[in-house]
Amino acid sequence: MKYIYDKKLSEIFKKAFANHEPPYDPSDWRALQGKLRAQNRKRKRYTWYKRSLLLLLLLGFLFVGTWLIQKSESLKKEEIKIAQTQSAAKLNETQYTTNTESKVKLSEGEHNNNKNVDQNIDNQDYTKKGAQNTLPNIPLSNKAQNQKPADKPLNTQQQNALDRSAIASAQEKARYDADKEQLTAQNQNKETNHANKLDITTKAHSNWQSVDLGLTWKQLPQIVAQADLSLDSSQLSKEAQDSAFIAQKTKANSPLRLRWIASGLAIGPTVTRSKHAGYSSQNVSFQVGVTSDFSLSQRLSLATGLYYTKRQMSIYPENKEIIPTNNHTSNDNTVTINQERIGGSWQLIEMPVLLRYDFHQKKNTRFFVGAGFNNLFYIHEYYREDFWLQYSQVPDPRVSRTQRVLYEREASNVIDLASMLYFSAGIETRIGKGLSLQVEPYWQLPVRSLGSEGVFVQTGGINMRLQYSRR
Amino acid sequence: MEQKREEIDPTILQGCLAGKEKYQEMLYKQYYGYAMSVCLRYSNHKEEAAEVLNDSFLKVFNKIHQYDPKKSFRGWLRRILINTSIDYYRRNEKHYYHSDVESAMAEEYDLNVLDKLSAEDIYKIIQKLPEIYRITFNLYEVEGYSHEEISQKLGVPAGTSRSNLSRAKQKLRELVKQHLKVEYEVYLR
Repeated sequence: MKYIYDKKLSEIFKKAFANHEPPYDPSDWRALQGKLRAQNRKRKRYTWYKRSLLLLLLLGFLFVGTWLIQKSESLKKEEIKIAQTQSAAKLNETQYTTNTESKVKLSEGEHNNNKNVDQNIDNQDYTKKGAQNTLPNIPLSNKAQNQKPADKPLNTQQQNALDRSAIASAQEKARYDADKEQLTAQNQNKETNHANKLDITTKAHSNWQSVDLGLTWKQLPQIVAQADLSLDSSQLSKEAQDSAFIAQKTKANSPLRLRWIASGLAIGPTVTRSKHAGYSSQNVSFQVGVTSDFSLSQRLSLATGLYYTKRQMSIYPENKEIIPTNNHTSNDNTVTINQERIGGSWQLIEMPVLLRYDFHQKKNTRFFVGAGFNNLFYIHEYYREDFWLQYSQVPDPRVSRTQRVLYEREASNVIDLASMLYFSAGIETRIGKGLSLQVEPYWQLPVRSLGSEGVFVQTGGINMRLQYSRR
Repeated sequence: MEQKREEIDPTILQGCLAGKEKYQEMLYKQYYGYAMSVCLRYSNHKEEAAEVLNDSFLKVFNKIHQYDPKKSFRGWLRRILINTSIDYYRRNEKHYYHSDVESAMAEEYDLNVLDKLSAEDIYKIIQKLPEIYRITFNLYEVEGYSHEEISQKLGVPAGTSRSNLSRAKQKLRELVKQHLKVEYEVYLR
């Protein structure tokens, strides 16, 4: 009997399980929807992190590449400059050495001749041979020292020497011009070796120091001016100093320098246009925040800030859906879902990051445009859905019941990085010493669905800023 | 008609494969009743069943690419539902407790009263069974698993599975009797 009873019991249970299917409950789907969205967000966030990392790497490479190119160009410029200086210095030094030697020799000759003149004056014994021998010999001093006193008067001899010096000067001028042309050609090729140049520079510098600038060489200042010696001797004295100088020059030529220029308070109305489950709604709220601007160049700046906002969503869908609650032909129960209201509210901190360009500047007014992205940090999210469920049995419509379902969900600490594109344009007017007022209409477009429920939100509004600026 | 309903719509399947929420919702709505009926008989109450159900559907959506369209979707879903129920039991095993005291009630075997039980009554009765008895009873009597298979699934010896089934039936008899008695008393009031 016990066995028969158990067998009957099992059959009854199996039959009941096979034929019974509970009616659809939309709150169960909402719960699963939340899980699915959280899962998708996690996946998307991971993908987004990967993309962001790649983008950052790319930007990093671009920045480093640009910096290296600029540094290289700057170094090349400095090298060319140094090469020009070195060549000019070398040329001048060569000329100077030659001329100085000639001058020294000439001076020695003159000195000897003067000595001879003195001797001749004393002895009254000079001949024409002295003058004849002095003219063809370039190393005048050696010969002159061994000569007998000149036959001709001393002033003629000196005149000849000076004539010869003028001829040599003209020859050197021509040679300088040729060297200058060669130097220009070398500079155009830009094939200079920095280390060698520095070495040469040091040598040239030491030679340069040995030159007595007080000498009466009339062309020297002219030659020096033509060679464009812009570097002073202290910068050319050591290789280390050269490197430091080049590094300093490169740093000074860096294109972007981030520095704080303005901070302030912002307040403004904001319109939120939410789209969820195929329906949309609009709500107005306010946002307050603090802002800070950083200058990148004269007209380009980076604007950021922290805004506290409370946004809302209220949708009345008037949606009616009839779902068969059973897959079995023997039981054709249905449930009619009347979705009455979908509501949501978000408390969040927004952190926009914008590139601002001042396209028009007057004395006290600036007109600007901005573009960037917005980062959202949700403090609290609240969602609510109101349903009316009507269960009915097709064979017997009298057997029906109505149930009200309220689905509520809360979440917090959700972060949406770079989730909205931000566009703005505005005007900034100076109202006092360091104080300016800024009116900035803006519009934000969603890059993806936001929050834990995945709502598409567009926002627009006007930001009014009072800020302290040091521009 | 029934056969047609068992097959999954290719459009829904494609949509689920693409991860589109709209089609996931359609699939959920289509198989909700069936899946919930399975979950309810493995769970203590509706909330627990809903949790198991959603965990199962999460697995379904994540592993939909593993589903072979030539085979029955219902069978595939059923396996997932049962496995998820067992996983849920294992996860929460330490929280379950039941008094396994032998009933001293006199056993009466009135077959006629069993026909008076409705589906809701049967669900209520089975949900009162201790977890391990309920799972063993379902797996053996409803799903048709052998004791060896049950022992593998639950990680218990086959002998334990047999004794669990025996105790489950004994408990069910008592619960049926109690239920009918309560119903009768309510009727008298």
